[in-house]
Amino acid sequence: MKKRMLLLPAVILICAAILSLGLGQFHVSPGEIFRFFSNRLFGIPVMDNERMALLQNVLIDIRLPRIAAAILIGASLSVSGASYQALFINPLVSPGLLGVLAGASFGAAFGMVFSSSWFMVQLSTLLFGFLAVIVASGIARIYHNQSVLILVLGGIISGSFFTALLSLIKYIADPYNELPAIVYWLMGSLAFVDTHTIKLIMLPSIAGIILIAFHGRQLNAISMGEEEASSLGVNVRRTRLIIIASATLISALTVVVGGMIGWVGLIIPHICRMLFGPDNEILLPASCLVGGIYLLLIDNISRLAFSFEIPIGVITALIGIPFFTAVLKNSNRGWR
Amino acid sequence: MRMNTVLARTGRIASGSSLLAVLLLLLLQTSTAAREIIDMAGNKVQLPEHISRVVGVSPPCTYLLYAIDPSLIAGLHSSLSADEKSFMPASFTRLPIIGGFFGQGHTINKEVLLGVHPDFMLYSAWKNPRSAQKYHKIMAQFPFPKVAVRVDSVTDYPAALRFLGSVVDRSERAEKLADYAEETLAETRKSVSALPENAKVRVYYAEGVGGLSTEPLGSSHAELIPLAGGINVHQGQITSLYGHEQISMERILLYNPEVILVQEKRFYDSVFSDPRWQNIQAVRNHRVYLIPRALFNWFDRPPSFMRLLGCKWLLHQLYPQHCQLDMVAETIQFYHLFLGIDLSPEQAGGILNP
Repeated sequence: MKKRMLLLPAVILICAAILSLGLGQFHVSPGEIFRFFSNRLFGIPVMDNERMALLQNVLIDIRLPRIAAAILIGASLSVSGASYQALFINPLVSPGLLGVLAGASFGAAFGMVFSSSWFMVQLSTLLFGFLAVIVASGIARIYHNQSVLILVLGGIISGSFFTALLSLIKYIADPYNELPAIVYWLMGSLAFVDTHTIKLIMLPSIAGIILIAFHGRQLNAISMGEEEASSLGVNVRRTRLIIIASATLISALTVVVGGMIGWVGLIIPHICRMLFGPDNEILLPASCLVGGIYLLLIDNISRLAFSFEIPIGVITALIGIPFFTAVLKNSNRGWR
Repeated sequence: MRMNTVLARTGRIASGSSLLAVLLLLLLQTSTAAREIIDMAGNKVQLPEHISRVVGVSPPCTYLLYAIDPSLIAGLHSSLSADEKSFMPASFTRLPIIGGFFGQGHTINKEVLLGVHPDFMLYSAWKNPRSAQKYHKIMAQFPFPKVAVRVDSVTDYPAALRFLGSVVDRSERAEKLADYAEETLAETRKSVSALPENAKVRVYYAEGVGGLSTEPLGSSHAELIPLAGGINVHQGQITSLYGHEQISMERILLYNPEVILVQEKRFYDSVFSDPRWQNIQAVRNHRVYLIPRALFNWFDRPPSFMRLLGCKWLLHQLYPQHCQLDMVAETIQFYHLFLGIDLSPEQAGGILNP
């Protein structure tokens, strides 16, 4: 019955997506959009071919991938953040906890300096994202310690290590072309999203999101403590592995598409907890939907506010930091 | 690690016989009456009689020196690429790396600089008084004479070449280069003024791997566009000295440029297959041009005297009907005159189509 609560954010997300299709610096009237889609869907001839090709360009090639990217990234970061907060039994945890974002950023910069193919840049982003998390869990394993705390410390070490490597890459990058490219990439932007990339990452992203979203019951148990979860019949180690692997995959993919976009994975789960309560079975899918809405909204601001684009990562940080400061007050009561 | 190798290298250079030479030079400098010049910022500077080692603090200055006489340069900004090395004298590629001021926090390594001990340091005078002041402060920390040269714009090059030529006693060569620069600028102006107003081409300057950063009209980064008679489609305000303004794909659709100038090969390779760009006039008509970047970039980043050749190249690309130029011959002539490199027509063709 509680699942019905999810209907509202789902409807809002769909409406926001449709509305965003009509927004942009290139003016297209709602009537024209309607005629365009009636032509595309039902083959009704309504306008000349040249205008049709232009609209296809604006709506399908430029706006649609960007909307899809915003929703996917928002959902990925939020659901990873929410699941980590339950898994590590700490409300102040974000998806970058185990170093995935630092690793992926280093991978992107590394690719930009040492490869000329964009696909290789994307591949290196993904690989180093995983590598950072593997390093983190490797450090935990060295100490034969099953506790989450040592894993978190491993994440801090691994994240700092890749951040240092990133600085090194920035230092040796050519200051005229490569360095600006890296710097803008790290600010986060959806300006470069194209259909090809979206098609490539869509399936793994959605699969990862769904996989995490269906572990609400297990995460509810784990967030009460490992022993309690085991006594409830939850395989803690397996759940942890699945959640960390999926969250690493989808978080690294967000860097592949849009660079570093921070704070989403921290504040959206908090908002959702206020709106929908602490039950992970509701919280996880709700985080997906609200995260999608949030980033879509922010991206619309980023592309419409000025004649130039404000990097989306800058806006999410500017909004996220004051919000985070405000919720710190509530962090020790009633989040579970 | 890099620091160590640099220091070691300088150590080697400064040691032994060259150390003696440096000491001797120091002695000479203090004993003989130095001459006084007035630099392009209007400051009086005391210089030694004979100049043999100069350090430019930013790439535009160093390239200016390179055109006049590469053997004067006593230190590099960063390690050279393999492409650059293949065209440069071996003694030049072995110079110590001093660093330089080219934005993004890059600075000069003072210890390496002290080891190099230049006769003077060459820096660019800025028109903007705030930048000029800031630069002046930075320069004050170096214990060497400082000479300012003005190379804000490509139109400053004739005067800058003549000035630097007289300072380092290479006036004859500088005069030849300055004449070429003047001639190029005058010819370009003549060609552009002869263009019918309605024939002017609307140009988008695409920077970055995604082609979505650009420079507004009036930015010195894109000064060749108006100079070669093009209209820069991005008319916005100059927001920063550094540039690289991000704009959206939809804005480019609105601009619908007739020509796109591309800095990044990666973008050039993808633009004809990326569906988002297919409705842009320039892409449809195959008028997307990759900017040549050998030996240094012809257009910008870093700005250099290569812009003179870039000016001809751009004129030729924008107005093939009005200003037909034999770019292969022009390239060969320019390389011979400015860089002392004799290219074969095949090599010149390769440089023109990178």
